[in-house]
Amino acid sequence: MPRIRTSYLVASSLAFFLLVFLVIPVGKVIYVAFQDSSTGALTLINFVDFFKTSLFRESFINSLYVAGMSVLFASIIAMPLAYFTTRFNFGGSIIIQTLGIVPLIMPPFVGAVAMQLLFGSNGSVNLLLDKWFGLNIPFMEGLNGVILVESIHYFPFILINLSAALNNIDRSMEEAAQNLGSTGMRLFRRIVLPLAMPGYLAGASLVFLKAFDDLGTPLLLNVNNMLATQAYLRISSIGISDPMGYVISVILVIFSLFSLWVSMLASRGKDYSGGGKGSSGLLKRDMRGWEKAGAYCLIIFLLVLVLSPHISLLLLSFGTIWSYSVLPDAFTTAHYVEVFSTTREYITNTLLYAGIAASFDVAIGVAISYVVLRTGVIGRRWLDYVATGALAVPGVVLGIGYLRTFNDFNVPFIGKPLASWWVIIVIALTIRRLPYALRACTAALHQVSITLEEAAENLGAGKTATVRKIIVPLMAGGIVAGFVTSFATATVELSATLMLVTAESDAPLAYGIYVFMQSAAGRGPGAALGLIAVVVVALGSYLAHHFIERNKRLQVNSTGQ
Amino acid sequence: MRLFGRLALSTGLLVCLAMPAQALEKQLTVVTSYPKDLTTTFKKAFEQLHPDVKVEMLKKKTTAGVKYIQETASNNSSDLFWASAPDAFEVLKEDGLLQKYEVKATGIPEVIGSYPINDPDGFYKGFAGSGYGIMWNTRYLKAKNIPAPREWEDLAKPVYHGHTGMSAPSRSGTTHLTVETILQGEGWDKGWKLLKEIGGNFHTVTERSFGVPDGVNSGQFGVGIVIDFFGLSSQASGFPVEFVYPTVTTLVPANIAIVNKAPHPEAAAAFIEFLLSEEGQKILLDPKIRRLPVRPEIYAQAPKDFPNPFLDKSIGAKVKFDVVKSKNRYNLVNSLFDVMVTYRLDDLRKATKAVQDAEKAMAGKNNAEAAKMIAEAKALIAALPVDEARSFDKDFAAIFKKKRKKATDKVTGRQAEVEQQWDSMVKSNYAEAAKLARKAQSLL
Amino acid sequence: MSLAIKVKPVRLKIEDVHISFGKTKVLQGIDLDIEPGEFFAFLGPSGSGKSTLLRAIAGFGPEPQGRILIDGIDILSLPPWKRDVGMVFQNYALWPHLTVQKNVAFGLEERSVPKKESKDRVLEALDMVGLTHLAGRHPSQLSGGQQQRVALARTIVIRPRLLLLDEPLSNLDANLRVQMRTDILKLQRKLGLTTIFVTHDQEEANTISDRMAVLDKGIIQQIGSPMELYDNPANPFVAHFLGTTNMIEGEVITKENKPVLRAGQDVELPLHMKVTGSRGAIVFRPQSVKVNPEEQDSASMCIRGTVKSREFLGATVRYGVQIGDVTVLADEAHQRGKRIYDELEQVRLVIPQKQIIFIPEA
Repeated sequence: MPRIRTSYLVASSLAFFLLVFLVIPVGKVIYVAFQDSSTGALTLINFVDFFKTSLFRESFINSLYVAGMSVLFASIIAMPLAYFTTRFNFGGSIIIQTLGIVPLIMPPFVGAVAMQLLFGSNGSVNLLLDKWFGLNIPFMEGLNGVILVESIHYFPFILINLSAALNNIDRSMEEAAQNLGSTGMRLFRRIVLPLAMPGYLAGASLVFLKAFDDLGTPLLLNVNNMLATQAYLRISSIGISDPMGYVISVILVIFSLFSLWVSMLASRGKDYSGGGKGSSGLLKRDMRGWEKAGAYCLIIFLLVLVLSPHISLLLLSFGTIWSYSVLPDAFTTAHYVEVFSTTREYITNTLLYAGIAASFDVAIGVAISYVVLRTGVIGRRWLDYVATGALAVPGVVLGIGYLRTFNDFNVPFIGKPLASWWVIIVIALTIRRLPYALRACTAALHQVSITLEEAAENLGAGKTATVRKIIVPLMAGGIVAGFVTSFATATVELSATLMLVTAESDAPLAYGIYVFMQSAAGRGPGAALGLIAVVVVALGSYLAHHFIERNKRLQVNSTGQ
Repeated sequence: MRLFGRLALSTGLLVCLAMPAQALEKQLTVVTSYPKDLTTTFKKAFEQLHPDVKVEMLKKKTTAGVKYIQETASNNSSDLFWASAPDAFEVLKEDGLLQKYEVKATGIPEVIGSYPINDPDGFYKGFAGSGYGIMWNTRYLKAKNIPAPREWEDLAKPVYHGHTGMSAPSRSGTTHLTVETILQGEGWDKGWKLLKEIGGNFHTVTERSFGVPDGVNSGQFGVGIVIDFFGLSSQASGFPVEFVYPTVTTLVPANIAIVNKAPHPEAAAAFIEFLLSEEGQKILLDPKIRRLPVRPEIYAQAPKDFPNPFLDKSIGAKVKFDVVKSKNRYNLVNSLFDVMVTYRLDDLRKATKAVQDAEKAMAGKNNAEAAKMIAEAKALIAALPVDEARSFDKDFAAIFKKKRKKATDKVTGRQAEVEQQWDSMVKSNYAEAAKLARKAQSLL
Repeated sequence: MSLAIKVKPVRLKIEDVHISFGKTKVLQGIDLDIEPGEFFAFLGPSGSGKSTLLRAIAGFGPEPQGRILIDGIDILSLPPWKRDVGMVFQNYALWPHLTVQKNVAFGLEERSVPKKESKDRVLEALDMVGLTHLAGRHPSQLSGGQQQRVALARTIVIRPRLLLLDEPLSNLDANLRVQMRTDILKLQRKLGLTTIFVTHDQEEANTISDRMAVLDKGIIQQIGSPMELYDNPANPFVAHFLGTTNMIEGEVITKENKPVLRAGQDVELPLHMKVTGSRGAIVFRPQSVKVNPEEQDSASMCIRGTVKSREFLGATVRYGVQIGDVTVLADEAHQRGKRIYDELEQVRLVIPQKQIIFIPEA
């Protein structure tokens, strides 16, 4: 049958892409995990060592604990934001949805400095607390610090996916519940939340995976006893033969896939796609006065909390010297002048790279979710597993893998190795951020009723035309959400990029920040560059949301003659 | 002095004569870990001298730079590797990724402080030196009423508990040299004891060497063990910090080497010659760069309080640094530091704090039992899983080596296995020490 | 080019089709021959497999075994989009992101019909369903009936070879349902399309279809015109499914050389028709039963019983009469002043022999 042949063709090209740009390069690096370091023979002894080592066992438990608690706190932050903005006629919903993305963009190095200046043991908050109450709260110390930062950093995953899911719920479901006497929190807990479960789980599993695999946050807090940091520290030391770094990487990948699989089991059979009568989205209503006041207070509190690192970044970028004080000593625009006069190409490069990468991500994400959910291709789930596994691969490993694999491959017409062509950076970003787009696309496709596709096929649209004209437009919300997440996080990715930059003229913004942050004088310009990244992404996601909202209004409100 | 002058002059002449004769390549790619201030200045100066050559400064963390050169070796496009940590050069040298180069410039001494300037095998060249010292945040110390430190030993005092920071030697080659210098200077056991006493006061062990000045600048912690230019450039940028060389400072060289099969060897050679020439060396005095030149005569042009290791023998000269010793146990020392300090910082801190509290309670009192317990606790903290002889045992050190030379080389034991043994000993020692110290305190 | 120009109607043949979902057999041994231009209904309770069969014709669902032929050509190897079989979905499946106009134009775009012609055809199709004025709206702004019409327009605009309707009326209110039913039939006649209509509502099937197939448990129980099936149900299922019926089951015995049906203890009913087998049932409609008729011919069956229940339905009064263990329903035409029997009253039921059919036990 031709339809089967096409889906196998698509599936195998996806598999080929993942194989060439993920499995082989990573495999080339981490095979040492399976090698006896003295004989070179294949062995599992290194894994035995891993479980025998108490430091690693502790690290494993710490990572698990941090990931679990981060999901909890991220949910507490994300749920009210998602619910209020989708449930009520609420001024500035778009702004909240947009600002909700911003925490995902934590520029490397400067982000860490900004957080410390604000929440650190001698940061602004603690200095004030000390002055007023003689208190010092260790926000940024140890595992609790990691949990705080991870929750603030990654809650947007839940916000984005949950909002998309809430917007897709058939209104009659909610009305039916109200009709049967259910209201308020009870209604939310018993009807709305279960219906939005696929979206919530998509977001929550990302938060869990990210918090479990994340390297940046524990590094910035100098918490070493977690798996990702242990892997990184062991891989990126010079001249160390210890295979444990790679062993940990393998374990991170396996565990990530395992938790993904669990979340899939949990969401199985919860395909609550709306009928296609278009009556989707929660019933929006106006709030009463005191409700409004309460909601605004809550939302403003949450926004200030999650945006505090960026507020601090803003101060840092305009401040002259900021050291052991509540605010910088004075303010200046000199840092911006320096950034704009010397490093403009970093910004354009970043927009280009992150834009291409995020577009690839949603394209591949749509393709993979389609193959997984809508075809019978044998082994299709593995596409999902492998692509998501990228989440757990440390950027350094991917970077080294690319150098090792593609340095001898000369690109035709360009005449230089693929490994030193700027396109390799784009590919690295694509692979690294694919899991985000993939989860968003899968959740979106879950909510598209299959009869809408059948109707199109019935009217003569082939699979491709159906995907293009029906599925993609109906998934638009999820696709945009996926694009925004991938784009936002790609703009500030560093670890793989730093390995792959071969010419300053090809370098993205994160590299620029790195270069600035190598010297004491570079802190201000670094912060300015970081803030520019944040603003650019925020603007991009605002436009994206604007686009979605406008489309939705068109669908619902265009008045018939 | 006159001799030096003449040498310098003739070098200058030689360089001048040599330059126009060679047609340099149009390009030069330098992989470097140095900050923008340093690279840009040298790039501009060099391009002015050789307008045809376009210099590409590829900035990568030292570790990333090493991996980059290793992985791209089969299709190499880098000409020079330019960084501080000698260990990074050692790794590249062992992998056969560097090219020997005979420096034409003359007048550069053999050692700076007690550290040999050039690789004895001729693969990499030192072009500058840097001293290690202590920097502190004045606002921080004032607010917390802590005296400014002067010597390494000061950092072991209880008053600095929770206020200091350092980067791990496994993360920073220059930090490693400092650790190794202390170990060679004080001896293996005493050296580690001092390091652990200092480590017990740490607020943080940072993941990268710049994390230390960053933390001190922000006021995240008050005192940091840093390389001089970090401290001095922070000060120059306006941060409320100060820097001091302790009486016994360690001096580390900064190096450059030509990458094997460099696509532009002539330009690369010209860059090294420029770097070592009087003109190039002078640039090092720039306050934003601030490294110790390897040409003694340059110091004549330096600002007044600029340290001169060729005259002031206290800088890095107290210890006769044994490069071979250092090299052989390089990874072992790093791993030991990580196991005993970095990864067990919480435990070490708790134990140290308990001992400090007990000693404070002890002050002015006489309780033999308590004193014995405290001494025991301190001994437990200081106890080492490896003695000095073992640290020089080649077979043992091989467990930590990057790679086997030949498939037939037999290595017994795996790093993870050894580290686990160390870790369980260290962990229980720290716990036991804390318990003893608390018990001692309760007796007082 | 007008929609109303009759395309040559096609013949649909289904030969020995089996469909399973995994291990569950959903359809077994389906054979059908649908005449060109025929309005054909699949009637059955939910779970009978009627929708699965319809979807298989359109190319959806698990791959069937057997053959499905349009004008003698097997279409099973064709993907849905090459079958030219128009289907109206139960939930209409209108695309919420497209306007009515664009929904309807979709199939034409896929067929690369030139813009101008496409526009005309869309307008014509919308005109046929009476929705030209709503062309610019989005589906969410339409009522259920309007959505249904859009779905219909969207399907017929491509001039499909076959029109498949999957319970198209089930989401509409009663009045609208009747209205749509006639509209659909009119449209079908006008277009001359071979049409298959899936429903679980026998009244709907009766009124609209030329012939129908009754399905149960994945098997076709009977095929025929509505009246044939109503009058001559092949089995108890068909009898029950097509309207209210009386069925008395029992053992066939021979008394005085004549076959008699013994149902329960004391009920023995003489059988005047040809009888096979040792068990079976007699089936007759409530309206064939007369209560205490003034006259009775010899070819009628006569039973005595007690009135158990009484329902006034307007045109008729339905009595439930207890006869031994069984209850027989009798519909009496109602007129003003007609006598109504009370509960527990003894009555005599008379059923003309030609209204009774005997169904032997399978």
